[in-house]
Amino acid sequence: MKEIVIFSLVNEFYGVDIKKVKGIIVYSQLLITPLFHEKEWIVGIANIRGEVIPIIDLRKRFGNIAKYSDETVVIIIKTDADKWMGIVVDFILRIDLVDIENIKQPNLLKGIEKKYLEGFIKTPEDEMVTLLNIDLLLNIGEI
Amino acid sequence: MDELKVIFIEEAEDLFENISSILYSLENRDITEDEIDSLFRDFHTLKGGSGSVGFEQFVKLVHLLENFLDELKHHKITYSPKMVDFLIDTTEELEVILKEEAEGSLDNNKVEELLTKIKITINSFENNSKEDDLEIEPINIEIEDGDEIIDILDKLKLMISNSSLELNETFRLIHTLKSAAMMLNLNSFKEFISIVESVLMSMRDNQEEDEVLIKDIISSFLSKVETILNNELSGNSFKNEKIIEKFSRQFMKNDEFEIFNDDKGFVLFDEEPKVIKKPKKKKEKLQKQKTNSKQVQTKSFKDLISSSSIRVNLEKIENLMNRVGDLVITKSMLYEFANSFDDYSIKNSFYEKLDVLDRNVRELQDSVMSVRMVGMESIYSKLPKIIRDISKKLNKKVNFEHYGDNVEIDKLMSESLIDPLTHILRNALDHGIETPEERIKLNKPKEGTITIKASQESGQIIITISDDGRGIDGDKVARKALENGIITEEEYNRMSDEEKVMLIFSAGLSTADKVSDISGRGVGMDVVMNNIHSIGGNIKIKTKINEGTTFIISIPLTLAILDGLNIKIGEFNFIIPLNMIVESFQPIPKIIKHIAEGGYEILMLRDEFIPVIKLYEFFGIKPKYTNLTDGIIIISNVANKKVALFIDEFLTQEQIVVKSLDKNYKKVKGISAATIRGDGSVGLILDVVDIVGESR
Repeated sequence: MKEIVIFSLVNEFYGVDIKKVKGIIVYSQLLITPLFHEKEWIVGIANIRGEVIPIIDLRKRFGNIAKYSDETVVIIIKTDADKWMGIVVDFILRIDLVDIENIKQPNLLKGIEKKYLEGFIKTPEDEMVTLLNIDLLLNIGEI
Repeated sequence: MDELKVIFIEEAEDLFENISSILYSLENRDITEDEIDSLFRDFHTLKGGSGSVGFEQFVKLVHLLENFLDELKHHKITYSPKMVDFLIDTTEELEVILKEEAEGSLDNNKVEELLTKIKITINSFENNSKEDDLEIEPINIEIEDGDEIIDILDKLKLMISNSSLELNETFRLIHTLKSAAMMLNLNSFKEFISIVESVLMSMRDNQEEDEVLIKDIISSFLSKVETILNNELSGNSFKNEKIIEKFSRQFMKNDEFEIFNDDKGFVLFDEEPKVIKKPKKKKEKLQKQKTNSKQVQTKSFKDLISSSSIRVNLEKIENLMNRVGDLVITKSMLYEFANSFDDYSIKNSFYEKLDVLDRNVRELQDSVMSVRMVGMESIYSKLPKIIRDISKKLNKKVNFEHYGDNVEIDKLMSESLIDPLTHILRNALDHGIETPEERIKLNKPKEGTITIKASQESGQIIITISDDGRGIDGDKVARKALENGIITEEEYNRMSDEEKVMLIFSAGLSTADKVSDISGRGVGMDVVMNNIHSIGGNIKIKTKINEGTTFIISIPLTLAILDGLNIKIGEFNFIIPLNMIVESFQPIPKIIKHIAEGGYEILMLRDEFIPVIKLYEFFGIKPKYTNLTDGIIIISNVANKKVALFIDEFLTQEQIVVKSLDKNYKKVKGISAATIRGDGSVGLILDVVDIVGESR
């Protein structure tokens, strides 16, 4: 069993291992400084507990339109490369325990390249959740 | 690897550095006794340390060298300059051996080979120095360093507080103390100890153990020893004369004793003492009693003697620096908060107090910074080896001189400086200094000279590297750059001599007629420039054909906290480091010149043409002003070239804590780093060098 944070990105549910998550912050409360010459999905950089970290809008990353509402949150991720990064998501569904034995290999492509997906999983509540390979997704070469 | 090993390896690096710096300084002169002592001590410490953490192979090798130096020290072998080469080479091999043993990749055959080699070499030295058989008594001195003095004093303190001052043991300690004092050349301290020693010795010789007297003299000794050492170490030995005189009068009553003051103090075991106290024949053993003897203060010796330093992990200092950084941010938050008061009297009194805080934080920051500082000598000590190797390869003769060894520099910066300095030195040796034959033809001394100087000037460290070689021909460099397409014909015609010389820092340029394995491939000098820029520094060159070249490197004192000016472009704020700003002003129409094609604008300022970079264009921001005359121009100096940065307005000047963008992200175009502002948002620090580079 694995505890994952389930969030929504453009009407689909995704999950990341809670061990990677260092915090969740409401988007509207963050002061984000834009960086001008960066890719459009790099919203900018923000100060999270004294760390200067980049904020990445995954919705823009995969070519969707990003809407910002009061529910929009930033999940702070600590990657394998020991970098702190924030990802913007539509909302947090909940934190759930899932059975990792039941990961199904990805077969569908929903705008996100297959290599960034670890597989699909069904929650006890019967939702389909896509597990993200967040370390690859947030690799400096990839963003 | 276990922690002790790590600590030892760190220590060993320092020792090796020390050893090398002595050895390399010996190329043109004879070794002094002090230097032999110092080398012996270093090898001795290496042996002791490596033995205790279990580097067995390494110990064997160091042991040979230690013995060799011991023989040298006691003149059993006569010194010859060849030994320096032997020691340099062997030390280098030892460094490798230690590294390999630590990694577990050591080949035992290699050790055996080296052992044999060292033994043979040492044997040959021994055979060559047979002439002198006037052997001085072999003397066994234990460890001769400051730590030992402290240890002994601590022991004595403990013994006196336990009233367990047994004559033989006390005498032994005092005797060792005296040897240590002699080793360290602490003359008045030694003299002081001699009194105690002779008192104890006469007791010993007369087989009369007077516990009361021992206690008296030791406690009196301990109570004065601090002053004596303080005076001696601070160069005020003359102040000790009185104390010693008084002390000797107190314990050597009626001239029954003379101050024992000869340099052969430690062979006294076999000698008749010069003065014998009249035996009193009272061999009674006093009962040992617990007395509450006065606690003797010895606390400050440690600071004084044992080179007064501790080893701290750099990470801990980094951490401390970060905390200070947080404090600076909190401070700017408070300033911002103070600004929000409407009531002027509250606001002002708040500001007043904040200014005190500001001062304290700056002082704290300076003190923490100073912890991270190391002397330039830590860089210099690495250079002679490079020079020696290269000049041998090139068959050139070079004197290396360095000044400003004590100028302090941020440890992290010193690390990023070594590569660029090495490179410049290589170039100076390869291209700058001529061969001895050429030099003679030019009426120059056969040996070239390379001088490196460091000094601290107005918040910056200036390092100059000069050679007296052939100098840089700016024209030749520029023609080469033209050939390689680095500059255009038009640029070539327009460039000043100075600018042409600066072209040596361009990537892919080498003027060496033939490529050597030392330099000449055209990679390197651009790296030098980049490295220096990356630590916020700058390089200038002064050169004169046939007279030599001087590289002038200026770097900021620290990278962690800097003074910045807040500027505004459109609705965005940026920070520009104050040290990047030469001047700033609102331009008048008269000095703005338009270049026909492309609508470029340049400024004509005191006969200089300065290109304008509009920062709003660079960042793609909608500005408040597009007309140069409405906004502000900041003149900055990049690689000896002035540029004008156009902004809307400038705001306050502020002390900022630099936070790297690489840590969680990557380098961003036009931005060198970030900082956290008083309101908690992230501020961007402009990378002027990068902006200029990108705008070309």
